[in-house]
Amino acid sequence: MRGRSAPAGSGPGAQAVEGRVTTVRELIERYQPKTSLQSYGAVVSDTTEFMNIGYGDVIALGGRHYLVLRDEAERRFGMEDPKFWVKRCTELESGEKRILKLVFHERFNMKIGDLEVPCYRSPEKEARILDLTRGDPRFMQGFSLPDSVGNNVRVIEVVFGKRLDLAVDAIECDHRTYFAEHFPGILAEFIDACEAIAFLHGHGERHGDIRRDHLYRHYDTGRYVWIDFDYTFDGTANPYGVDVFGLGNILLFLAGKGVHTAQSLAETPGGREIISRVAPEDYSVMYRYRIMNLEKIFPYIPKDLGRVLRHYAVGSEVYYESARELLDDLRPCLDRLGAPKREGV
Amino acid sequence: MNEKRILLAVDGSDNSHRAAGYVGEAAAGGIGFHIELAAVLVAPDADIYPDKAAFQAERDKRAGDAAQALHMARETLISKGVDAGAIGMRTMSCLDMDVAGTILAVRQEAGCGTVAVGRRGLSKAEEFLLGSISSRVVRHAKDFTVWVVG
Repeated sequence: MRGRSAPAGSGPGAQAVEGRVTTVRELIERYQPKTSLQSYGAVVSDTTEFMNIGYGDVIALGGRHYLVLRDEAERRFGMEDPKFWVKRCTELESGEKRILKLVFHERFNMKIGDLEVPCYRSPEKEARILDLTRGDPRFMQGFSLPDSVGNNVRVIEVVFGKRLDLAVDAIECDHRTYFAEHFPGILAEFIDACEAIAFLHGHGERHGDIRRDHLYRHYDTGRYVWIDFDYTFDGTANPYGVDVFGLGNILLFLAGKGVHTAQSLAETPGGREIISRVAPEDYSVMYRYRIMNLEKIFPYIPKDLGRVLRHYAVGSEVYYESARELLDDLRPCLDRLGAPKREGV
Repeated sequence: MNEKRILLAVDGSDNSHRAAGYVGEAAAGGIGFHIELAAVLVAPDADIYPDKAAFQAERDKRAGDAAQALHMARETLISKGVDAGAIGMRTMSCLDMDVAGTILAVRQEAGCGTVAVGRRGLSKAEEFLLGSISSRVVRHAKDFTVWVVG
């Protein structure tokens, strides 16, 4: 097997590391990671066959060794979707947890409402953004290195935080209290996160996959941190449209403390009366069931924030073309809400 | 600004073909008209191609398509009665991933008082996500006329 040593032992396929034959067992004995290992795999330097790399293997990269613990998985809609090209690892030299993203050139259609946008996974793009945002706390941190056959492997630091949407979800209070006491702080941080996206756009880059579960709140600093930059798409008439759409969706969730639909409203006290006030033009231009005009549900939402959200509604005649345009309208909303009364989340 | 100097942006689509037909009808037999045909060459995004050869092949294809679009539009204009001597042609590389911005830059450089573009007829959702070149040209129009041919 190319670039893959024999498991557990120093047979003919074992890998030379730092001038001596090394096996996973030897590496574990040398570095003694906190993780106890149930089985010893192989030392791998060529990551092309990422499906064959799993628990107990060690990826040798740039003079360091990454013990693979598991494949990462995405949890959406109650389903777990394994990402076989993303490995949760321990870096043996430092003991730090790392995520290794291996090369997987995937093409698929991203479904947004009724539209399908051809989408691509690009290791090169993500590596470029990691370089561009190095040291910027608004973005996940990491670096890229070629493996022994030139695959662009990204070594990512695990973000020490909680998904923002889950953090907002966990706030136990009614919407009026949330909006008055928590939302101003959340909006202030979200504006900072939008600035981060505007920074990318200013450098001709796109995030590519802006959605609620790709924004984390750092446990220590409280700052919002973007993750996962490897999606891209071929769009030139409106190159930042998908990003701007994603920002609007997150803003809707944050302002509404969740997504509100006619169906969800119908199950609440007084919901049917609210639904009777919601017009077809109040719904999202993409997701025809989501209510964008939150003023109809929560009349205390300031008009200028309501206007920003309505830019994403069916009734809008003009749409934001960049994060900068969105920010120009969003900043005055924060001024109107006043200083945060308490930490956002 | 000279309204009789018309910048006609073409991309080989049916919409741009219709726009060429309309401009041809409007300008044929008129005195002092000049029609500048422009094809904006949008380079493929290198990130979406796994290797350089595939990227280069797509780039070459797009250059060929642009040349073909210009040729087709020129033929359409001539078939409508426009004098071949009153037609200019140019290919412009897309600036800053912004086709509409590139069209406007060409207009400025060519000194055209009229811009003609075809319209794809996008839904609102498509326009939001994918963008509408004609809408963007109209949005940024100042001191010149825009013809949007649907």
